[in-house]
Amino acid sequence: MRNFRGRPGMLAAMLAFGLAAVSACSGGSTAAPSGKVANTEGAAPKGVTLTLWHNTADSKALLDLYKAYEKKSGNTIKLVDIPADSFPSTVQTKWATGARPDILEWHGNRTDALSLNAAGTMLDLSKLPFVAKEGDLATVSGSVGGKTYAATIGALSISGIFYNKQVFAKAGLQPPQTYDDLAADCKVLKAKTPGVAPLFEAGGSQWPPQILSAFNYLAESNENQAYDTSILNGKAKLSDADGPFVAALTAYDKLRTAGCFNSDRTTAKWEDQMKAVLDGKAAMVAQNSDSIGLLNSDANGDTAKVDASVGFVGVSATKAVANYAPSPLGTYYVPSTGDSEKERAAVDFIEFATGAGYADYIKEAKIIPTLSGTTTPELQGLLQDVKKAYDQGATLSFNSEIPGFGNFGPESSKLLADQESPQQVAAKMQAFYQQAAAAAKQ
Amino acid sequence: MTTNKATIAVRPLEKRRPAGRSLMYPRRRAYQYAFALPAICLVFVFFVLPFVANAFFAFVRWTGYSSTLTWTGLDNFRLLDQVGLLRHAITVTAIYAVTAMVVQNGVGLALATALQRTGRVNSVFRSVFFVPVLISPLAAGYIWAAVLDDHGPANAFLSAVLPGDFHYAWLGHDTSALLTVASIDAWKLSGLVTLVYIAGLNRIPEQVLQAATLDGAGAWRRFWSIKLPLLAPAVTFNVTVSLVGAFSALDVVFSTTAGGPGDATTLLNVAVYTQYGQSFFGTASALSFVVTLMVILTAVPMMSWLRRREVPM
Repeated sequence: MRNFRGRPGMLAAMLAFGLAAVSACSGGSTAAPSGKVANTEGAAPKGVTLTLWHNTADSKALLDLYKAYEKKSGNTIKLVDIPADSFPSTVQTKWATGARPDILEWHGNRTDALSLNAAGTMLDLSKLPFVAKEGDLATVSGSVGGKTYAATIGALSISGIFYNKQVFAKAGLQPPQTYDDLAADCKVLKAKTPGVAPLFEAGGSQWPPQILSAFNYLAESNENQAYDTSILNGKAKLSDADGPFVAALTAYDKLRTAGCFNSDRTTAKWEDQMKAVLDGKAAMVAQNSDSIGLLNSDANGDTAKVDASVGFVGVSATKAVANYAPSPLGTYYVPSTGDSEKERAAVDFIEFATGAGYADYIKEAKIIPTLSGTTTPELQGLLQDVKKAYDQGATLSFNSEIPGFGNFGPESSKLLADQESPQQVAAKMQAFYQQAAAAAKQ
Repeated sequence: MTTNKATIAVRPLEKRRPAGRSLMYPRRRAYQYAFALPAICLVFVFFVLPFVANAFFAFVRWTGYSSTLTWTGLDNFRLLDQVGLLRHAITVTAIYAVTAMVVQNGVGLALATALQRTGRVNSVFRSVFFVPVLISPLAAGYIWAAVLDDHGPANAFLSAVLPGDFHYAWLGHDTSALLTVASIDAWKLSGLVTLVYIAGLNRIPEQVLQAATLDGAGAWRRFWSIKLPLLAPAVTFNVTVSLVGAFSALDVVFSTTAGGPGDATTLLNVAVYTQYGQSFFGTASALSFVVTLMVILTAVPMMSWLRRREVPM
């Protein structure tokens, strides 16, 4: 009995200590106050060490930009490597513990900005000169509640269809423009180029199936973010049986049942699909322009070979429309850390990256500039195709604005694996959206 | 008489003890607590505290989207059930754990029986079968994923010994992916289980086996009627550890299928990782709480049942 009586007291102490530890550790509850505007007054401090959480996939041009800033400012940038493979989850995990860098490289999509509660945890950069140069991009990248919290200097991630030119020539086909074209081309390719996968999917990486199953199809529906707006204001639901989202998933499912995908579609990875389209083992791959680096790498840096083998076009439901999203590589936020000196220095970095250091970065990176007033460098042929598709009226990828779409990778993979119907996937995504939307309103 | 003398000799000592206490007891107890203290601290910091925190957050809406934490009761579990994640992950985890446990113990027991006697050859093989235990689970997963690729060495071997081309996607179909990944997990830890079974087998008195042999019992009869019952403590340990370990599996699954194809190998811990990576810390905590409950509700009754089977030697 003595031992038994001792237990409730011990349990109470344990719970009290545990909950005290819990409240101390919950980074979300101790976040800095919202609405803090970036300070650009006076000279930027020197001799400050700034911590930058960055994606290990950063290009050499971005790494050189950090060095150039150090040289110009007298400040030091301490890079904290976040592995590209687990970039979102690692950042979220560190963020949840209350840890904050002085500069954060992170996705520009509104849904991703919301997932870090940008309005409550980041400095408002709206008054910085780069915002005007970014134009419309500043209203969709790192933007929450009409304010801009991120500077986007990395190349936009433009989605469409990569196709192998030799395979298409052999089959006597023109590049597709619509989903009907994809289905028709698939039939021809199966007949005329046996052994070549008409469309190469990569369910093993989980995220690639999102592009063909929805992003590309919905590009034309999301002109001026029309479809996003209808979802966000509740006029439409993702699960509407006659809505565009279910139509996109259904079109994708038809391609699957028609046997248009590779036999290892559920296990193949992103790297496999890019290599397949370069080598002519696949006729088409739905991917984004971030993959061009991998193609060049597969060709041992021989960009001429890549340009001769692979082309790119925008493809949507009924017309040739590409879709784009801000890339996490080269998109920077300034978290509110409470250290005014470091915050001022971090803003100074943003001013440099979007000002004095920007032209050299674009020249070295050889990408399409996101800020006006900078000349586009000479682009490799494939990137010129991408630019052409973008200039022909690309729309914002529809998931960029809708919270909760982090689950779409696994859900679209279930469709690919024939585990769920299009309607079931749509119903689940509606539930995930509602979960995230409710959390964002909290 | 000797007994009586001993009794008489002890009595005066007992009389000198304070009522209800042993002479040595207080010092021994302090000594024991001193040794137990580091373990108690570690358990408190690394198990009790996280468990309490996890249990709390399982009933809280906690996301990266907001700075506010709200008590929402069972809402996290309701949402997970609504999107089909909870029941599916529990089912997949249970199948995975049972498969891994059965394969691990079946293979381990067979190897232990074959390698029981200590000799030069057996020592080499014991080391060989123990090597997978030392390999990083992620590395093991990546290696097996390459071996089991549609065009990988496993299918190439089967194509060589079987008629026709053999290109089966072991990790590309729902059932085969789940069973294959569970078997990889079992392969990785079979060496450890084998060592425990070998220790258990060597603990069985040789005289009992010799007596059974003299009575005419064959090898099978000796195994089923003597060795297996007397191995009960080893079985208790191995079955419990392998089952509980498999409930918490993540790394091998991550490096082979990442939860796919679709969600065929999305165990509870994979789902935890996915939810956490999307800033849904409350639902991730709820799933993690379910893992803990599964472990407790399975391990405690099972250990109790297995211990009752143990035969004193």
